[in-house]
Amino acid sequence: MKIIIPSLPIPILTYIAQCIESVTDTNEDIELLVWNINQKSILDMFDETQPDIVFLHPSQLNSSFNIICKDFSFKYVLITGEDVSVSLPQSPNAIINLSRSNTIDKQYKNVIYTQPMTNIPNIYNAQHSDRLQSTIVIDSSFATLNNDIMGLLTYVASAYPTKIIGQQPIPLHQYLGKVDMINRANLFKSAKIVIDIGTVGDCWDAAYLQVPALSIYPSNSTIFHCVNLALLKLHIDSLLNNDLVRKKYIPETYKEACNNTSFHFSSNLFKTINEPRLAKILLDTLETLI
Amino acid sequence: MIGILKSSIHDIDQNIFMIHNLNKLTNTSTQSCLFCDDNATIVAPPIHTNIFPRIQVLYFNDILITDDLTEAQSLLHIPNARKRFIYLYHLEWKYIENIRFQQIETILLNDNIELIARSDSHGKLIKQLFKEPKYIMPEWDYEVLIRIDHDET
Repeated sequence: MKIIIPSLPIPILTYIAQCIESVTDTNEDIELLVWNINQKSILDMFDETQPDIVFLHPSQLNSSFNIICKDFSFKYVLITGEDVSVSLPQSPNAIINLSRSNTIDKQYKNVIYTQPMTNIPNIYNAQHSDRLQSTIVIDSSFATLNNDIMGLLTYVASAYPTKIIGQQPIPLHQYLGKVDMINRANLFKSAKIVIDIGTVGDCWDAAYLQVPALSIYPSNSTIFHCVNLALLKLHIDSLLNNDLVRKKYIPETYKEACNNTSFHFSSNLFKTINEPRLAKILLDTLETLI
Repeated sequence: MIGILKSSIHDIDQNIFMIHNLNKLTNTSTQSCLFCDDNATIVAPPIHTNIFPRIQVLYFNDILITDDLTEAQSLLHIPNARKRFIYLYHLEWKYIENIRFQQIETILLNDNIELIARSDSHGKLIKQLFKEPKYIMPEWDYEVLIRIDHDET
């Protein structure tokens, strides 16, 4: 089975790709290819690879796509944040809706919503390192850097030993640059608390690593949600100074993190598009990781 | 002997302080030299210590200090240096565009490189982010340079 994922900067696509990649070693019939959309047209990609399953963005649903639908037999998953305005020669087998609201026309079935989740392939095997240890770690990669967030970062950085990492530069001395997957995981694992200021699930990654996490967006009733600085300070101090809270919070959030992973999401997606074998392989792989 | 590694010397505060203090060192028993290819100072006083082309640093076998994070990347590849120090004068990592953690980690968390801070408050931040600075040296203070020379010899 050949699966094609376009190289688009959409976290959920990366998560799905990482989950599939983690099962290809033990399942040689499953092949994942990442398609560089800037260097290869959709027609050439189909000619060369003849995929069984392909992930597409609405920007790729052009006249070439109409030709492809006539010439090839394949399943596809559409990934979008808006309604599909064009008339499609072939309906998507599933739609991943990036928007939090119900923006997809009701004629389309199998609409799946994304939510923050643990991306185990990104953090698996993280190690605590004395060299990297800190009180608080914050990843800026998927945050909306408005005044409120900048105020929060400034407060946290001045009040606690803090390391800020991530794709988006922060004008504070505590910002230490972009990190690769391994350094990110090790920095998380070496922190006393991770504060999640984004929307993709840093708090779940931390919870899976058994590091207490706080989120500024509501994610799940298990993760402490901080609506203002006073509540944030209260939760930080409680997690830093109260062993009882840590001992209760860490296993609770870990358990929840193990039940809310990118493997679950990917498995559910492939089950939805009638690929039960791959769905099961993903869940089986997950069981070996937790 | 203390060697200072710089990519260039321009008329900015840290270089002017450095020149003043290196010049004071010439009246003491602590020897010093400067490895630099580009001396473009106009305002700063003349430098009384020896200046060598940067390439010569490869043969240097004593205490080496740089306050330039770009030059710091090459510190580890200077084979004969006995001690290597990075002087984080302006907490420079904040001003590097597109900085990657790996660039910082290689030098500022390296066991073979020691750090020098400019003040206690800088020292506290550097300790939180990387490791405890071995020395606090206000504005290239020549007395601290003498102490480094004595302690590390």
